[in-house]
Order: sequence, then C-alpha cells, then structure tokens
Amino acid sequence: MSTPHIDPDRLADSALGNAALSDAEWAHMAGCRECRFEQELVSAAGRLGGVEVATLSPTRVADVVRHRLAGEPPARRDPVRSTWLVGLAAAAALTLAVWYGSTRGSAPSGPTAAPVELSVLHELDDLAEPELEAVLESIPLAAGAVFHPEPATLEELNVNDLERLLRSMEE
Amino acid sequence: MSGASSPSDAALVAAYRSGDQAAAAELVNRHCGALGRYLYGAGAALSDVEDLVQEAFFRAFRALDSWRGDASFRGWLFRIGSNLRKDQYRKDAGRVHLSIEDHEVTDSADPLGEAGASEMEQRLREGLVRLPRLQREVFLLRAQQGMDYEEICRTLGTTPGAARVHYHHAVKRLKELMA
Repeated sequence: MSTPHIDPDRLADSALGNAALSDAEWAHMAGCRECRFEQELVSAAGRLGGVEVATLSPTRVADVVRHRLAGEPPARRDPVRSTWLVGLAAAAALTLAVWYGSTRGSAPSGPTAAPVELSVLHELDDLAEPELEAVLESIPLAAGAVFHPEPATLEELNVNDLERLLRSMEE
Repeated sequence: MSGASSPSDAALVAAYRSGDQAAAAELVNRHCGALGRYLYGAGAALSDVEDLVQEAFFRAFRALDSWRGDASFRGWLFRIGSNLRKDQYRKDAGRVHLSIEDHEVTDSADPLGEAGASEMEQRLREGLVRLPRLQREVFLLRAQQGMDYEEICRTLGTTPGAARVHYHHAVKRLKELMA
C-alpha cells in the first residue's frame, strides 16, 4: 500500500529551507521516484541562473541607473568591449584604406607602380558596433588582403604586415 | 543607514526619496542578482538580462511615488521586470532564448571548467519556456525566489488561491516535460 505523494508546497518549503520534512515524508521519499524527482526539480529552480547571472554587477547597474535618472548619458559599461570597438574602428579604417587603394584602377601595377596614398579614417572611431560591422561587410576585401584588427596606424605595422598590405594593393 | 541590522527596503526607499543616493545603490545591490536570475529563468537571453535589469530599476526609481508600499519593493520591482520581459517577448514574436551563447558565456565565466548549469537546470529552463506565462512566473517566484503566495499574488496581481493552482499545475507540467 502506497502513501500519498508529498504536497508540492511541502517540497518547495523543504527545498527553500523553510520547513523540515517529517520522518514519514522522508520514508515516502525513499520509495517514491516521483517525489524525489519533484524535489530535484524544485532544488534546481533554486539554483537556476545562479552561475550564468553571476557576472551581473550591481555596482554597474546602479551606476547606469543613477546616470539615467539624472538625465546624463551613462558611462560605457564595458571597457573591454570599448577597447574592442576601437580596434574594430581601426580595422575598418585600415580596410577602407586598402579598398580605396585597390580600387584606383588608373594606378599602374608592377614594380614601377606609384605609391598609393593611404589614410586612416578617424571618423569611424565614433561609429557604433553595428554600424562598423555594416561598413566592414560592405567593403569587398582585395584578394590576399589580410584583416588585422590590432594596428591603429600604419606606423604600428611591422615589416611583414606592410609588405602584405602593399602586395594586396598591387593585385 | 546605520545600526546592527540592515534597513528594510521600505526604509531604503524612504531614504532615497529624501536624497540618499547610497540607499538606491543598496536596493540595487540587494535585488539585482535575484531579478537577473528571475528574468533568465523566464527565458530572457543572457545578453539581454543586464539591460532588462537596468530598465526595471530605472522605471522603479522613476515611478517610486506610485509605489504605495502595500506590496513589497521586491515584488513591485519583479512585476516591472516581468512586464518588461513580456514586452520583449512580444517584440521578439515569441522567440525564446536557449541559445549556444548561454552555454558559451557560462563556460567563459567558469574558469575551473565545471559545468556552469547542470543538466537538470538546463532542462528546467527549457521546460519553463513551454509553460503558460503565469504558471512560469508563479513557479519562479515560489521555487526560485522563495516568495510565499501572499507576496506572489501582490506581485502578479492575482489571488493566493489562483497562485497556488498555477504553481501546482506548473510543477505537474514540468514533471511531464522533463520526465
């Protein structure tokens, strides 16, 4: 003869630490797969999102909310992302420069080719991430051109990168 | 804000109303994580959780004059968060977020290499998004947030009896979905 299942609220209170199951209830649990599963279920609910949401910073949230309430633009919330965006802007600028050079059809190719003037477009620095990605996607990369997100100016390119860049413009 | 015991939410709200910014920060600190977990459990993408939490606090503080104190600040905040999630769900045309990104972020936030979410929790989240909204919200408020039925009914605008029925239905349905 089986005893009735444990009330879901008793199991919830037990999982939350608000109630202790009686000996009879524990005895029932030992032989009832369904009640054990339900207890696991409620325990899992108590843990749900604990790891995933652990990166949520109350300080950052409070800061953004305070700025918004004061009518001020909130500070950028993620410095890592900002750095990445600057890199992406630099990459977009460099890619534009490469594309501009590669599309100058009048420029002769070969060893006697005239040097192509390169310019970094700092206007791109202010673009938001989706706009930058749209710019990058709209630019057909010259064959062999290499996408280097790191260097922000030509002066920062090493010899190999410069050679690759120049070769890509000649092609 | 001194004393041996921490001030109640109502005391913090009163302090904030009289210009104490630190009281607002303390309220955020108190409820930010729980609200984030609730929204995540309700199916919000991990990448959206912070924005939803920020928006919920922003709206709560902006509308503090309309909080009469008959519901807990927590319940009121969760109600705002719940409505935001509902609006987002409609805008997304009912899409739910159980994407790879959640696992990726979990893994990257887990330097020890342990599984971020147990299989049981993952299955539970998958089951939750298949429940009717009220059942899902009542279940989360009860089993995840530890609210009693009185607080749940004030948060969701229902009755304790209806909340209890929603909870029992949710548990039954989840057991079927996850069996």
